[in-house]
Amino acid sequence: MKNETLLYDDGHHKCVMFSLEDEDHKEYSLSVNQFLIIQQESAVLIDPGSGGIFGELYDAVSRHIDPTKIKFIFFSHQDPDVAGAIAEWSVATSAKLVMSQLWTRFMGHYGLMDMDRLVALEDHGARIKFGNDFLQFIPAHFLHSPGNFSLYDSRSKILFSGDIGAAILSPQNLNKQVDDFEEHRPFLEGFHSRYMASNIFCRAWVKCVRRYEVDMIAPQHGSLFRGEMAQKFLSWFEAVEGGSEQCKKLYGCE
Amino acid sequence: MADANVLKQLRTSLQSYVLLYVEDNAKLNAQATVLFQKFFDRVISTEDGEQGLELFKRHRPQIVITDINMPKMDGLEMSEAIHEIDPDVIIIITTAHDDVEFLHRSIKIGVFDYLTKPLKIEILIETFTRCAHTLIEEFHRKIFNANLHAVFNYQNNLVLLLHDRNVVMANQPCLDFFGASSVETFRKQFVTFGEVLLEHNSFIYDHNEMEWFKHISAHSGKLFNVKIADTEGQPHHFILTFQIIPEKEGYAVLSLNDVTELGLLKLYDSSALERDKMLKDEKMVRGLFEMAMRSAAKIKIHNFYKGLSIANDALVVNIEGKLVKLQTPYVQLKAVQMEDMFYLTSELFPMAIAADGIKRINFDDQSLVFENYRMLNSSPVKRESIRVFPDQNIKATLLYEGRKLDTDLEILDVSVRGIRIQLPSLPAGFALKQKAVLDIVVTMGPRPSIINTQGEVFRIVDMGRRFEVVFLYDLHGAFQKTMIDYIAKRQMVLIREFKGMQYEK
Repeated sequence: MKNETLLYDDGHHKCVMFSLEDEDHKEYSLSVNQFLIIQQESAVLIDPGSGGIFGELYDAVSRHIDPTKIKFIFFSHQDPDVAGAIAEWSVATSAKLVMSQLWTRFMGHYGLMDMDRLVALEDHGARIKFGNDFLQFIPAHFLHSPGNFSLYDSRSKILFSGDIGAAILSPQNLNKQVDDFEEHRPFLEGFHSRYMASNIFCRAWVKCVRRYEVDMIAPQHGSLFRGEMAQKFLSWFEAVEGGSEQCKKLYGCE
Repeated sequence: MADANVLKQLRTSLQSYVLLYVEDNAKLNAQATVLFQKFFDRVISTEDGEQGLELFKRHRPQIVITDINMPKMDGLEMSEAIHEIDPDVIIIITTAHDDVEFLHRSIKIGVFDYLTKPLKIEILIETFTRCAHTLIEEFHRKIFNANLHAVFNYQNNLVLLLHDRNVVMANQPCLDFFGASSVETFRKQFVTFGEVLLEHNSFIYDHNEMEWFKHISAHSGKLFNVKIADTEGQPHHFILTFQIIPEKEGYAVLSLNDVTELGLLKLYDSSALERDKMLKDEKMVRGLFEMAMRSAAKIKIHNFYKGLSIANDALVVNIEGKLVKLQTPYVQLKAVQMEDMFYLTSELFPMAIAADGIKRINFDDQSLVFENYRMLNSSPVKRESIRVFPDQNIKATLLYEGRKLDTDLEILDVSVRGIRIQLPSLPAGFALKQKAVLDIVVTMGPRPSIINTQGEVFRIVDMGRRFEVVFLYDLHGAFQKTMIDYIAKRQMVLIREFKGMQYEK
């Protein structure tokens, strides 16, 4: 499987997806994606994954930019496939680590006690200037993590959605992009109905996302939603019923 | 008929508000409701005052249009009751008669306007335009008041409410300072606000690489130093903050806290000689603490436990004579307790401050009191990479001019960029910028890894009976990964060690 996909390049600004980890299943594998945004001499790394892929990702990033030029490393949430290599990245770069304020107190467990290295995001998110453009951290709390953000890149118009949009076992994951939403939909359903906390949050997230012009949704697992597929995904996601809607079924003891 | 653009603009201004319409003439009520719906998304209508009051309580409209003569409760009684609940509601009376008594009662109640039926569209548009203006002013006033507590810590704060780059409101101290007779005058002055920010080293002002407003608006919540001259030309030192108001897109509060009397301006823009003198001036450092306390600025406190960087936010909460009291989290207090000193930095300070002379550490209210402080010429906290004290799993040997140094070599700290070693003596001719070969052996698994690299002498410090030498190197590939891995793991061990010591008495 090809493990590097160029998502955007206008000669000034570039977005790259790496798929360096796989969760293998019988027939299809589910890729775990890491992302890099480069604008001239600075870069942002998104969800760099576990310690197991640190070396490989470091080399992959080095092919595009000197990793010491990474200004920010964004962790959408606290899962090990997102934030497992905080110690290594904090040693290898002098980047600021951006994450929900909810997770900053755990940093000691990840090997970091210097709170000056952190940018702790308030619940409503934040906007940071990136060259002449901006990066917007969009709240995605309880989808699935209680302190969770998606990242919108204003230049490429790509929304890095974290776990939102993950599809398990979809044959379309092999192509790294969704070509037929209806065919892909059943593979989205299982994951989202079990991992998302409630439809209230799904709708709130879509409302926040719709403030921006989104050309592509790039989830941390599985396939990319480009153009019309991104809009179809948002419409579908708005109606997703999550944990609170199926509380009875999940607990079974009411 | 009115201009389509005017109508469109009016709708944009009014659509989010709720209108209550009370009129007992069913036909007129239905017709006017349809008309009002062209301006408002929600129009609630009813045919008597009693019902009108009930609907008001339930829906809390911002605008009420009511007839006077109605069954059960007349429009004026209803209006009076509504204003008792909320005096800010805009009430418009419609009547078929020009009755002076009604008019007087309406004025007493404080109605917004008094319109004669049949309603004329031009007059209605004119009234609605004034309504929209009043509502937006009211909205601004509410945001301004709601956010004042955050910025009115001190009397001499100049406070402005901005919408994008426009001044919506400004407080009296602000108008007084800039010599503006009204907010309207100040609005015009503010268009060129960048010009009043005077050049001063490390301060915010317009220059080739910075446009002041772009800079502060990209850093909401941060504190900045600015210099502004008053109407008599005297320069003042202010701490500027720009706070975006959440959920009110485009709105922000800008505040300017006058700290001129602390006499700190010269600290930021002085010659090297003057600066060296000031570095030792405790009173000057206290001025910086005073400035941080007044601005409620979060400053950073740093410790290095065996190289492990431990840093947190701190607040200056009290200054009494020489004694300064800080609040900072428990973990940082523990680090201070172990090290007996610490460093302080802030975006507001011209340089880092080293502090010791710790008098008290109180873990209950998470505070510490200290009495010695001085500014530092170079910042010990600005480290390009993490440096840790080594353990026994890392050894180094040095080859200089093809010969291995036989002397005992001790590693003091190590990073991905360099290594600091201690030598009892230096080989002949050993000097800055010279190259040497370093063999660093790292044991993390069953087999040791060897990092073989060329180091350049970056610093030599004569410590009397020994020398400290810093080598810089440029690691790549497997050597680099090994070093990153070693430092990351070493950090983890140091964290465990530090945390273990936290609970020792």
